[in-house]
Order: sequence, then C-alpha cells, then structure tokens
Amino acid sequence: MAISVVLYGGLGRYLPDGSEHVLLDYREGMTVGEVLDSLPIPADEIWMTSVSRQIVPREHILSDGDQVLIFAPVAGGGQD
Amino acid sequence: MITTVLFDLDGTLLDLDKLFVQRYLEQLASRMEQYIPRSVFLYQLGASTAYMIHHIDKRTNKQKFFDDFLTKLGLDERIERAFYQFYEEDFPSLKGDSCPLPGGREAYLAAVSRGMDVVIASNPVLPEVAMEERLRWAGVSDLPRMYVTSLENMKACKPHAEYYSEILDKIGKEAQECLMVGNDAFEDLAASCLGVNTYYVTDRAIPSNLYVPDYTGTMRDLAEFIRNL
Repeated sequence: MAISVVLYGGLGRYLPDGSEHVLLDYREGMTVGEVLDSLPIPADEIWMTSVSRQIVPREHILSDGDQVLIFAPVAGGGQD
Repeated sequence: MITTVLFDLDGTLLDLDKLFVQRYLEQLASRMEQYIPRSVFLYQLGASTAYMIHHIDKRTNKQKFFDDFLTKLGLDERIERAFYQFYEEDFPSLKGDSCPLPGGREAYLAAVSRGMDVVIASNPVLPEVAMEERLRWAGVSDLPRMYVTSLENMKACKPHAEYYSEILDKIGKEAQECLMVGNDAFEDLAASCLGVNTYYVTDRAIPSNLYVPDYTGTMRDLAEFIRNL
C-alpha cells in the first residue's frame, strides 16, 4: 500500500538526501495536497502535479499504487 | 591557477523577474493552443523536459526533448517550428523587470581584463536564441565569451556531473583551472564533484546541504575576488 512520488526540476534538493523518488504509505482518501504537505518543498517551487499523465489539483484523491509526479517551474523547450 | 570562469545566469548574472516563468508558460501555451490543448501541452512540456534532464545519451537536449514531446503527442516537426517562432518573436517581450544583478558585469569584466575565458553555464533547457536574449537582459551580451551552453549544443543538464564534464571537454580545460560561479547550491555547486572550484553567490541564494562551496560571497564581492586570484 504505497504512493510513489517522483520529483522533477531539481526539487530533490529539498529532501535531506537529495533523492528524487519518495515512497509514502497509502491511506484511503489520501489527496495530492496531503502528499505535497508531507514533503519539505516550498509551495512556490511547485509548478504542477500529475497522476496518470493528467494535471491534477491538490484536491485530487489518490488510489493505492498511484505515482505522483511533482514538477518545478520549467522554462524550455525547459528550469534554470 | 584559474584561467576560466563559468557563470550561471538566473540569479547570478541575471536578476530574473519573479513573474517570468508564469508569463513564459502562459505565452508559450497560448502560442501552442492551435495545435495542442493547454493542459495537455503543459503536462507534456513538464514531462518531456524531465525526460530530457534525466536521460543522458548521445542526443542533444534539443533532440531528446523533441523526440519525447513529438512522440508522446503524435505530432510532427511543425510543433518544433512553432516553439522556435515563439522564442524568436514572443520571448523578448518576457523581459519584464528582469535586469542585471548588481556586480555581475563588473565581475565578468574583471575576469576578461585578467585574460580569463568566460563560459555562460546556464542550464541548457532553452534554445540559443533565448540564451542570447537573456544575456542581453543581464547586460553582458557585448562581452567576449568562450562558450554558451544551450538546448542545441549540450547533451546533459544541471545538476548532472556530465553537464560540467561536457563543458570541460568542449572548452579543453581541466577542472582545476575553472571557477563555477552560481547562486544555486544544488545545481551550480555540483561542479565540485569534478574538482571544479566553486563560488557561491549569496544575493539570490538557493541553499542546499549537498555541496560545500570553495568560496562564498556576493556578486559585488566577486570582482575583487577575481582581481586577487
């Protein structure tokens, strides 16, 4: 029972070990917002979150095994 | 002996308008809306940029980005042309309040006047035409440089060590003779993995505990630092 989280655009810098992959315990009714709040990433460093190739809001309810992608603001064709 | 200074751009030589990324994404998505629905475009822009950063192979960043972007959306090269049209026609209007970071040009000139080579080592996620525009915003486009990393000429991105080794290969320099100047402790100080000297600019500092800089100071301190090297 887990949610995997993948961080893009250098967001791993905010985790103590610089990791870009995080596994969280899943619980019924868990939202994307709760995932974001559980990570030490400043809110203004988050551009968008996606699940199953769809951009999803904080209120999106997750299913067991979902992968949440978290993107930093990008500039490009690309984040400097 | 340090012979070469590598400057990061955003937050280092360039004080980027806080609304830049937001406006950039808005305008780029608007330009693409005739081909791709906005939300689909924005997701794939993020995903293909992530693909480009995380896959390091023989392809340039441009090739990686468009290979992934066009394949995933089932689109052809017209989109690539539309991207470049955006960078050529719309991108200059995104300057907003972006301006040179105080002390940046002076530090750059200090390096040049000491006979050092200068490399613009900004994360190569933007095409050359956009890099040149941003150098104008930073007030250093008229100054000599040895190399500017861009979407088209690089195969790796920050913070990967391969990005820095690629630069060293292209300019034919040893790590020990280079000084990487940047405000992002995660992306810029990663150069230290290869033995590149690092100067952490504190004006717009983005901290990280992963790397320890060799030197730390403001951009205004840097010119004096370079003169005393």
